[in-house]
Amino acid sequence: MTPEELQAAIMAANEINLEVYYYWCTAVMILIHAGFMMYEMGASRVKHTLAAGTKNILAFAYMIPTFWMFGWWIYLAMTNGFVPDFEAGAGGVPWGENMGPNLQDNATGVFWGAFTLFACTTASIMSGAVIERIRMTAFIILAVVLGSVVWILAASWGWHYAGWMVTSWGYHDFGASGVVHMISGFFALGVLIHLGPRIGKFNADGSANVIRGHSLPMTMVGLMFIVVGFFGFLGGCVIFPGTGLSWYATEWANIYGMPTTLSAITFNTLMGVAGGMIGAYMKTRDPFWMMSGALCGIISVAAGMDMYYPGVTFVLAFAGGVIGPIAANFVEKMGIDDPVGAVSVHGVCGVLGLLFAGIFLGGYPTFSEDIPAITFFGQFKGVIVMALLGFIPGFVLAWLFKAMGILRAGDGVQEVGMDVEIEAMAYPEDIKSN
Amino acid sequence: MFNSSPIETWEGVGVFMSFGANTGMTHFWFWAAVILCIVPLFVTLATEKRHETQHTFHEGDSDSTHGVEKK
Repeated sequence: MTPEELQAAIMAANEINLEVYYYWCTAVMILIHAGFMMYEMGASRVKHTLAAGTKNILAFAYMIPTFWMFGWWIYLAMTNGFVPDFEAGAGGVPWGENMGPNLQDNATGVFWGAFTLFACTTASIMSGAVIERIRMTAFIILAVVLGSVVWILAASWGWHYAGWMVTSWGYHDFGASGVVHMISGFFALGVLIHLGPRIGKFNADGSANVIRGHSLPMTMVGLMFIVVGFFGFLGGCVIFPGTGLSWYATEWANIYGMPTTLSAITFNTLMGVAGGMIGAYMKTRDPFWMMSGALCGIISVAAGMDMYYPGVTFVLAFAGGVIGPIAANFVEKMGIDDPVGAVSVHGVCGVLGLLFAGIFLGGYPTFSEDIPAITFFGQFKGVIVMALLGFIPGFVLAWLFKAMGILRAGDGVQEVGMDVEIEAMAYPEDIKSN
Repeated sequence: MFNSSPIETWEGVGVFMSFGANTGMTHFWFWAAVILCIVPLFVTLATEKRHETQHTFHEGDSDSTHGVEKK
């Protein structure tokens, strides 16, 4: 074998390894969706259980074709803002050569699949906030807009090496604190304002009641599934080395082209989970919040977890685990009924994640001298963009659906249970919550 | 499709499921997928409407607050 043939064989092997790596990342990420489904079914009362589960299934099912139809194109074409670059987007056109079986392209399908699962995650985040009262049609459309349009537009701006937020501000969001979690949390907030609370959540004097889900154990196991899925999610945020698409021949890189390792991600994913759990335990002693605290922890460190020292990660995640439940109480005091704390866990902790990265990674260089270094101010501006980009579409669409009368189920349907629209019963023996 | 493969050998093949570069066919199947995503939404709307009509709220029915506890 000549040196050239050997080199070609190594490159071909690397291409296959890249394909295998992202293929399994995508499969593991499905656990996030399974976990959210369990989490939200457990957090629902018995009569709403299957409606919560079915909405998660349909969000998953609708995200896949719509992300193929226009989601991937948006990612490739919209890096400059709202004006599409049709040349850059050509690789994402659904009738193009890359968006289907192609023996000379091992990468597009697995990257598309991983990004599709990120999109599914955004819909799952929103679906927990709206359980027990949103109508199916409105939910599906909101999920598609969030996952196949809004999040991927945010990713094109801030999670793409050529995105304008990256090239203008040095925006750094390795694990998607902003582009996934803030976008979803603020989108959910926009929807919740128009959707209104569950019946009985608030008293006439504005005080809130507790509405317990029917299975806290199911919720807890679901959250542990999400933690497992995060390894696929965060593993999918790293660029494989040694291929024609890679940043480096022998080093992993983040999505911005800065070197990192899977070891770094492993340290900080686990430390983030642990810090968040313990922080939430200290604040609440509540099993629900201990597991949600794991999410608070990871999300609070996600933006910078490719670089943090694990001790820093633990402390920041601990802070996230404490702040998450405090933020949830604040949201409730504002008269917003968010049964799973999506706004606080994902929205508020996403803000923390971006700002923490600005503080602790400020000054780190980016992959090119032409791109500004990471700064607190750049991250702060990123927070504002992500909050607005998430909130405005959710708020406007929910307002529109409310005006059309298709956003919220009637009181009668809520009373008999949202499962009546599914025309099935989760527990035929008629087990009741309390 | 229907015994009309656009390739006769696998050697040198890249894209192979594009109906022999017939863009009309790829567009046809694309729009078929779009329609199949939209039609179920109307079915769901009709189901929701039926249940909304069947289950109107009556004052005094207490089950709506089942599971609600004072803080």
